[in-house]
Amino acid sequence: MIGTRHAVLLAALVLLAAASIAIALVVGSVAIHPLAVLDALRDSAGGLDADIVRELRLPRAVNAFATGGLLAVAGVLMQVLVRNPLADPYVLGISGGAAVGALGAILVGAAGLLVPGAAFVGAAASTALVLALGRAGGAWMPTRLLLVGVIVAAGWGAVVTFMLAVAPDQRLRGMLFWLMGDLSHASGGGIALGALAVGAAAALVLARKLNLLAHGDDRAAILGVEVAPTRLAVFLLASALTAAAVTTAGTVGFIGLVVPHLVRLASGEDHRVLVPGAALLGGALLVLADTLARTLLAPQQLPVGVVTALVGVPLFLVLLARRSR
Amino acid sequence: MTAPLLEARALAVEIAAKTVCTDLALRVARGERWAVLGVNGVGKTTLLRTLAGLRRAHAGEVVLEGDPLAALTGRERARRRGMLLQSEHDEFEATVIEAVLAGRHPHVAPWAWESAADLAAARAALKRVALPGFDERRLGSLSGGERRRVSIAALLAQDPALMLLDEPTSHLDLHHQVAILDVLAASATPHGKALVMSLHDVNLAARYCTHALLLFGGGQTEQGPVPEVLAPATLSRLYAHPVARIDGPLGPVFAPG
Repeated sequence: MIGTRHAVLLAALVLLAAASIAIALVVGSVAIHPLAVLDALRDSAGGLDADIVRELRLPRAVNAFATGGLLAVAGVLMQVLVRNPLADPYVLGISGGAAVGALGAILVGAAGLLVPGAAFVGAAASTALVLALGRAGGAWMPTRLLLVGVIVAAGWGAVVTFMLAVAPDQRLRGMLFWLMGDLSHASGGGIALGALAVGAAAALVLARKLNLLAHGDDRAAILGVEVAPTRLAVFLLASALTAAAVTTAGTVGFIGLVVPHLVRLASGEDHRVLVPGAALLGGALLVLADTLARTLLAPQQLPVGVVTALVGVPLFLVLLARRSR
Repeated sequence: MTAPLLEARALAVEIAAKTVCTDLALRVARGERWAVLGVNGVGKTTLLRTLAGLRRAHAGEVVLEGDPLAALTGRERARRRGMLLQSEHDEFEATVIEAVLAGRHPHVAPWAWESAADLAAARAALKRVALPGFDERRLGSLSGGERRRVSIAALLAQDPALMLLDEPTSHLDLHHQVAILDVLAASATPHGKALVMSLHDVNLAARYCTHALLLFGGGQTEQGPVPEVLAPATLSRLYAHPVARIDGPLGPVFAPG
């Protein structure tokens, strides 16, 4: 059975997630009373405040939650795949690959499912590249891996900038979206939330195998994991989750790095707790970060990627320094 | 006659254009303790990894109790054979109990959590390697010898009939070398387990093993009961260095000349 400590942790994260959404609905350039928010959600109120809650804040909060959860779970999967707790879809250039895929598809006039499909191809190609070049002589080298990831990310950033420079303006929905991550253009939210639910469930199915793969491929094989098909499943799932996040909100950085690390502090290394914990905390933190991004300099809105980077970069450096000791 | 616990049939193992063995026939029964001896780089680890199914044989097959290893599911393999790797690299800050409980994986139903019995088995294994009370310690905080004993505890918790051990005594001090080999050897009873271990120390092989498999390189091998195989002339040829036998109070001791 799941331990009491883990059950309490997950319950606390559910409450945090609910609280983050509540804050996102109440706070903004127009403060709306919590009771008015409740009325708007119950669909019993009309007026401007109700429209703001239903049409603007709720979809945006749902998109933020889904994107954060997707990135955090993708981070957990990437970290097992490359056996490095500093891995993250953004740092390793996976998000950049997805952005290039999606942007390329939009530039040639594609629409509908072709855009996330192209994002998936970009993310998978990027992951394959990092996996192929990140190890030398069969052994993972943490520094080499991060170096390859950073260079790949820089390359994709240049391709994105090039595409934006030559693209006709009306095809694009704001430039920063693709380079920095921004939730102000996201709409709907149901699709992203569905992707998170399916993706997190799939990761949960793999959870015990992830526990063993984290100790190394040989170790996992000795304990009965069919390593090659399992790694392929993790690879495809991490790429798909990253692609779903990037098509929703562009390349938001560091959620996939910071969140698994924070959850591990409380949960330990068991992925049966780490995966749902990361989905909940990732979602909650991105909702809060986005609320901060749109209220800090209100009425001006910051891209949420600025906030996550300002928090994520120092934390990444601290973790790196601690590891090399 | 029942099938032996481990059988290698016409096994050929090669690595990087180097031949470890060709046409090797090996039969290991329960209760037997085999030493795999040879110079550095001759392919002891590669042979053990092949016997464990971690790498494909060049030719021939590995059979566990009559079932070809290749035909078994990963889970079924894990319940029958375990392996102590030469070294472990911990990238994540797992605790000692998490690492040992991982050994129970093949015994825990796919959708279940580890039971109280699994936890008890893990704790008992930690006690057998003299690490009681280490449950919540981080792997990264352990000494090399302590980390080694955690790996051995994980193998004991896995509880396979066939234990393949790659340098089980590495990182261990004199006392713990003897203590660990005592624990492992005690489990190899006529209806219990069988051990196949690569060792650097001929004297530990002489003391703890019933049989030895010598790898001379170039595919040449020799095998048999320890009293027959571990002879000064054979060992001198194996290590390309003169080895003398001294009969001491605890039995024969081999010393380099």
